[in-house]
Amino acid sequence: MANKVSVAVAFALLCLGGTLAQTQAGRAARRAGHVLHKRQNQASKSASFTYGDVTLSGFSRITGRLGVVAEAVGPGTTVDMMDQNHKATGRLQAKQITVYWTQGSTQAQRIEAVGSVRYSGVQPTPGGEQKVRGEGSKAIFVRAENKITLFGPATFYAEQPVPDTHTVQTVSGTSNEVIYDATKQTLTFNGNVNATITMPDTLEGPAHIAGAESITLELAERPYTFNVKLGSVEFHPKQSQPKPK
Amino acid sequence: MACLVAGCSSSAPKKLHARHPIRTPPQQNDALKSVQSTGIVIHWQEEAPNGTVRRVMELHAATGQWNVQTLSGILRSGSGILYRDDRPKVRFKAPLVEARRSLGVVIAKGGVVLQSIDPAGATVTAERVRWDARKNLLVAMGNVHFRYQPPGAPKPVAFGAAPQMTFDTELDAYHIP
Repeated sequence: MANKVSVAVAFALLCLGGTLAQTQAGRAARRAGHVLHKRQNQASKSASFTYGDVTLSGFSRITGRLGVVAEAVGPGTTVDMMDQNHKATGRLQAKQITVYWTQGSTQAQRIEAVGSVRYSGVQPTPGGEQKVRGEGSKAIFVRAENKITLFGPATFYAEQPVPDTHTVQTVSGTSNEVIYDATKQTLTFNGNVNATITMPDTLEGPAHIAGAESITLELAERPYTFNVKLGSVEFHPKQSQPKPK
Repeated sequence: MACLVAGCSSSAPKKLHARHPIRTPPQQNDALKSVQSTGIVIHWQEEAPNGTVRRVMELHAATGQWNVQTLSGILRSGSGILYRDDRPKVRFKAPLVEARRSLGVVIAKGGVVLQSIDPAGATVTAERVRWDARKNLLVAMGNVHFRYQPPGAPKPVAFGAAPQMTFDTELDAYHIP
């Protein structure tokens, strides 16, 4: 009887030991798999790929055909663009970015970004630099038009210096869609627009635009000129100072 | 200089061996099976679906050991050409090249350089490259650097770096990792 009990206990201990060993082995395997996955991710994040005027980095995976298409995925996926003609730089960050080239050209023709999209750009302008940044759920950049469209809900911010008065004009806002045309130097907000415009040289305080259907800002104008379609606008022009006698 | 022509018959290699079984004592058999030499040239060919013979790989090596039965071996100071559909696609150079005909795999190690032939202009350097002829895949591993400078271009139009990159044999399609 005692023998039977000891055999049963030994068997139970053996089973328990086996189960523990299996659990430990499973944990070790999972840990090893996790470490491998982490290493691969880190390794990919250190990778970069440049074709012509576009550099892709921060991705966890990229697939492509040389000079035709590149599709990069991963939460930190970044595309840096360089426009030699305008000496401008731009950066797009998103969960997934696809770049298209036309065969024989080193300039990216179209870039599509999807998921937590962030855009920023810098362009030389009289008196300094024009800086723009925006966020949206999707973005499309078209080289031929030198235009980027952010789909929303989108937020946008732009600033540029006013050389004569050494002040800075700014515009910030939200809308369903934002279109930044770098060639024409226009910024268009479409759908449910709420925006704030500051022009310290001409306005006492910020101009507020609420619930507008669309706004188009001519950024090349000093000061900005803007066309508002429907909605309310509130602004206070600066009173001209009487000339001292 | 020794010259080995592997699988250059119009039939598949297995059939070739079946038609000419080697019936020799073990020592001689061993001597027949393995060739150790300096100045080796390997022409790896296969039967195409239309019945013709097409080139798969051409390999030149300074020294090495080649098994004529398994059509595999390890060769040193190797250089050669990889083919796709009987057309030369990539020129390669490596200190160590291991070829396994049965798997359709070539592994180059010790600082590998690949240069595309058709289309020309792409260069890949890596610590190690595995070429799977059947899958049409080149997996470059360890400190991989890629550069593309089309003929006539004053500077590279594309470049990249990654711990691992995979290409097709033309070095045209790629993915990371």
